[in-house]
Amino acid sequence: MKALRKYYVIAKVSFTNALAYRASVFSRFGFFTLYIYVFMSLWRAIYQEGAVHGYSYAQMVWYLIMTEFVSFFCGAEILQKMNEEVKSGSIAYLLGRPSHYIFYQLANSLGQVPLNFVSFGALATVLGLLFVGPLHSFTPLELAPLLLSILLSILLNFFFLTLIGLTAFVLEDNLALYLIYQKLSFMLGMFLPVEFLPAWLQPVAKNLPFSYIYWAPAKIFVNYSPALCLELIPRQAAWAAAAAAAALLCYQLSIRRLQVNGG
Amino acid sequence: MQAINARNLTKTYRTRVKSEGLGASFRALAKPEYKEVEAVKQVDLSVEQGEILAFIGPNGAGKSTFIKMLCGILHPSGGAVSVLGLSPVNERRKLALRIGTVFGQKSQLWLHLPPLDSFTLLAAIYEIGEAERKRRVDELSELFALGDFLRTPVRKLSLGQRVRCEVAASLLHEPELLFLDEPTIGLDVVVKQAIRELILRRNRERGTTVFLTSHDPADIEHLCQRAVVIDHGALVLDSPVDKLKSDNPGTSMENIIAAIFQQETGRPLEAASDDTPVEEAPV
Repeated sequence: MKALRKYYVIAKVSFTNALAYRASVFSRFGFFTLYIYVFMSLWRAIYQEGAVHGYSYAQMVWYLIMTEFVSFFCGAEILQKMNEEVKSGSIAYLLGRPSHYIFYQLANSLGQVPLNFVSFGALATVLGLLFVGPLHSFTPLELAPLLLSILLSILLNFFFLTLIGLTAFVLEDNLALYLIYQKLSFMLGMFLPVEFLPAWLQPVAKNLPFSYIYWAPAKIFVNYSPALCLELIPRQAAWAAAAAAAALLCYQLSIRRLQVNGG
Repeated sequence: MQAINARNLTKTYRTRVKSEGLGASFRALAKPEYKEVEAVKQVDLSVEQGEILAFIGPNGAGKSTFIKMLCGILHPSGGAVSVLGLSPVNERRKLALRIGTVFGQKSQLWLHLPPLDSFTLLAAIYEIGEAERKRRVDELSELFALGDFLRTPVRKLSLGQRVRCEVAASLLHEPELLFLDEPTIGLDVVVKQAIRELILRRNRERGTTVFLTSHDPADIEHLCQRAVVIDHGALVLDSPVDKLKSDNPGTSMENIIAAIFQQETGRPLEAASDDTPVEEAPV
């Protein structure tokens, strides 16, 4: 119980800290709107010919809004933070405490979610309604599985970034790894639904974890059916569990190799 | 009882080396070269409970590496170590509840939040109940005169105020053993003296063992009972401070240490100034 409480307090303090950055939330609102507008214009040009791969234009815009929404509130801050802590040597404090480094980072990361969720959620809804009107297939019944799917996306993304962040313990620079991860998740779901990929690539994408960060929640959102949830959510959970196990194992292995920088 | 017992404690790093120039950079890409660096070499050291020990040495002597091995943050490459009867590597979390650390050049406080929020976070991490947290924060606030700035965001505090909060934060869980790694670096004389008095008071009232690394001879003179000098990872002196003073009457502690260092190593001890730039506090 005490152990759980400590991670709850870490998340709470992290949330308070996120509130201190509220000005940056508003500046990122501009970027969010710009992304949506640019990609929406692109899709409008493509959609001159009607529905594409089963997605109507409105569904495609809402798909885009959902993937950008997920990407804006589970960004790469945690990776930057881990890298900074290793570079500055302040990781010495975190490792010297009676808490688990990975769970500390998880609580810290989750603490930043509520503010982003509410603010970007409101902006995303307004933009979607303004640009293409309501998504008619959406029902309140969808909300619980959708939220679960988004939560699993956050966890999957967190453990992936943690895995990359842990490489900072042994590598001098892990930017290349992050760029590979970013491009894969961009092409396999964030920018394009998996259905848009060449036929041979689709089963590959569905068997890789990257699609389950953006494609799964956005697909559930615009194309909801209980069968789809039963197909995608367990896969998301399995990939999140596998990434968590890999991150914990890598932590155990890399901690022996850590060299704390600075005096 | 012994607070620290290290036998043949050794830490070896493998670092990449690269010659100067672009050609060497390409060669290093194809075939990286490594060099073994012995940061700590077979150090034997025992510290009794309640003792205040000064751990002195020039930059890069291995002081911080040694402390980090005692805290369980770095894994030793060889030798054995026991801290408060526990193994730092195998019982790190159990040990963490009983020791405190202050790394003078690094910050454990959240930059954009008042110190009080960081105290709340640390209290939860160290499993301190709500009522007990309030009592301890009040006590530390009075002792360190934190009242006015406990509710001010850390980024708006002066260095002296921040360091007082850093030390207070490390004492919140009432550690039996306190590691202070250059706690007074960059501080003015008045604040340095205030920090020293607080550490001394804690040692007298609670019997807290203090392991202090510092470049400042005044820290050693005013605080410590025993001085240990390390160079290139090996001990070059281990002596009671009183004995150093009585053997060298009329000489300042700075000169005593410098003379012994010169005699033992054949090199001058780096100027014992502490104008090393202080890192920006991480968020």
